[in-house]
Amino acid sequence: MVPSTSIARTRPPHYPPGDLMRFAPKVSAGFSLGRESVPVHPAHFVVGMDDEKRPLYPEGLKAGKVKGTAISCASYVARVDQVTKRGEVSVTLWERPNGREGLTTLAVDGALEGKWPSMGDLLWIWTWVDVVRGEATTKIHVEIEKAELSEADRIYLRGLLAELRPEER
Amino acid sequence: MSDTRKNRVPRHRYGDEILPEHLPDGLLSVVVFGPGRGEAIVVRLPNGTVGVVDGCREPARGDKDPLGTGDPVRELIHLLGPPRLLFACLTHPHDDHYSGLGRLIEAYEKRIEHVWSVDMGGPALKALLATHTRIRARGEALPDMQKVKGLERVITRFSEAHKQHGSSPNFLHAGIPLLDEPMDFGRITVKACGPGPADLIRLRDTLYGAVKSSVEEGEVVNEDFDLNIASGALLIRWEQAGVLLAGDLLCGSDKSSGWQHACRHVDGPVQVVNVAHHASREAHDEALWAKMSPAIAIVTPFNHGATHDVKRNGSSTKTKYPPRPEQIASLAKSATVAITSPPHWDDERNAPKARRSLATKTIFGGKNSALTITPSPESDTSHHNAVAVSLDATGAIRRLVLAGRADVYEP
Repeated sequence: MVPSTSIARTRPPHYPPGDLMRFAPKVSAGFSLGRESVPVHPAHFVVGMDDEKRPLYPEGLKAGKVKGTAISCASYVARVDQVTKRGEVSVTLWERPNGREGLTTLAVDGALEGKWPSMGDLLWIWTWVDVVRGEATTKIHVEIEKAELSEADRIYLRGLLAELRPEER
Repeated sequence: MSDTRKNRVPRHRYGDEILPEHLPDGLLSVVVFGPGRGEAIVVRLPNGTVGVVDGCREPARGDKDPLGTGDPVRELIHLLGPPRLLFACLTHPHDDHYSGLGRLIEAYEKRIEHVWSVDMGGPALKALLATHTRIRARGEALPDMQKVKGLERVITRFSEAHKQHGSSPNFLHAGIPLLDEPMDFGRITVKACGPGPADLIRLRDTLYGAVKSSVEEGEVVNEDFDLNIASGALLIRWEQAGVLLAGDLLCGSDKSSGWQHACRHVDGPVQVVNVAHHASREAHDEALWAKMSPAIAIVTPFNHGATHDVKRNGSSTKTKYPPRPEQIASLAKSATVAITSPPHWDDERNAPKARRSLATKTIFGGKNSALTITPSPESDTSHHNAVAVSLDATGAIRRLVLAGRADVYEP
C-alpha cells in the first residue's frame, strides 16, 4: 500500500479572466476573491400534490389492493427509460410530493403484473406496508400512463419516415 | 503492487477538485469527470490548448450563468482560461455523455476549431430526437424534459458546427485521422477507433425502425440494438504516449462490429485508458486489453454501479449497473484502476476495496422496502469527482490526481 499525500484541499484565489470579469459575483461590502458557488442539485419540485385521480396515499386504490391498514406509504411518478427483452424496466422516478429523484428497475412479471410499458411512458407507483391482523406485507401498485400521439405528431413522423427511407435505407 | 507497476504509476494525490496546478505545462493531461452517472473528459495538450470529449452535467442555472457553474467541465475550463477550444467531441448521443455539452458549444460559439461526432445523417438525428420528444407521456410536466432539451441542444449545435467546418473530418469513423497538430513539444494526433461502418448502418436501421413503429403502433418497439455499439472511441497520441478514450463502445457480435473491428485501429503503446462503457463486461475485449497493457485504467460508474433488487412473481433477481467488482478486480491485476466515484458493493463477497472509504451510498429505500432506489447523482457536490493523469512524451506517467470521491483500486 502506497501512502498518499493530500494537496489543494482549498480552492486558490481566482479572478475571472479578461472580459468575463463582468460576470464576477457582486459584493456589497469588502471584496471576495472566491469563485461564486451555487447549489448544483436541482431544486425539488412538488409533483402530484393535489392530483385527485392519483392520491398520495393508497387508500383509494382500485381493486381492493389494500386489505388491512396501509402504513409506510410512498408514492412516485416515474419515466420509463428502457425496457429489455427479459422484461426489466429501467425508470427514473420522483418521489411524491417532494420530487426527490432516483433510479430503479421493475419487472414486467413482478410489479407491473404482466403489463409491458414502452420507452417514454409514465408510471404511477404506490408502495406501502399492508398490515392485516398484525401481519405486515410489503405491497406495490403501478399504473401506466401511455404517451398519446396527436395527429400533428403522426404527420411529422410520417414525413420523417419518408425522408429517412431514400437516404438511410 | 509489483515493482514494475509501482515504477509505472506515480504516487497519487487527493484533492477536492481538479485545478489548473494539477495539469502542468509541457505534459499531456487527461481529466475524466464521473459524478456517479455521466462521463466527460477534458484533454489539455502540452502547449496548453484544451479539448473536450462528452459532457456529464448541465449547468445549475442554465442560460442565466454564462460561466456554466455546476458543470465541472465548464468550471475547469473557466479556471484554465483558454480563449478557444481545440476540439469538442460527442462519442454518442446518450444523456450520460451529452449533458452540458450543447451549452458548452454555445458558450464557445465559433471558438472551437474541430467538432466531431458520430455521423448518423441529418434525418437520422431528427429521428432520434423524435423518438425522445414525441413518444413521451406528459412531456413538459417533469424535470426530465431537461434531458430532451439537452439532446435537442447538442444535436442542433453539432449540426450547425459541422456545417460551419465544411470539409474537415467531422465524423467519427473507425480509422479516420481527426487531428494532426504539430507543436513545439512534438506532434499530437487524434484518431477515431470506432464506430465501424457496419455498426453505423445498423444504427440508422434501428432509428428508422423506431420512427416506423412509433407511427404505426404509437409507441417505440424495443429493438434488440444498443446505441452504444455505434459509440465513438478516440486514440490520442503524443510521440510514445498513448491515451485511449473508449466512449461506450461495446464488443460486437462478429469481427466487423464493436471492439472486434475497432481493435485493429488501436496501434502503438497505450498507457492510459478511459475504460469503455463504465467497465461493463460487455465492453471488455481481452485481446485489446492484452495488446495495450495500460498502466492506468480510469473508470466512471453508471448509476453509481448500483444493484437493484427486481421482485418478480415468487422470486427476486438483481439488475447490476457497471462497473462490477469482479471486473474491477480483473482490471486491477494488470493496471492501477482509478475510479471517479467508488460504488458500494456491500452485497458482493470479495469486492475489491478502494483505498479510502468514500463509496457513494447507492440506495435509498423510500419509506418501505418495496423498491430499491438509487438516488440521483445530482443530489450532492459529487460533480467534482474526477481523475486527472499527466504523461510526458515518452509515455511515462508523471502525475495522478484524484478529486472528490475519486479513488484507486490496488491488488
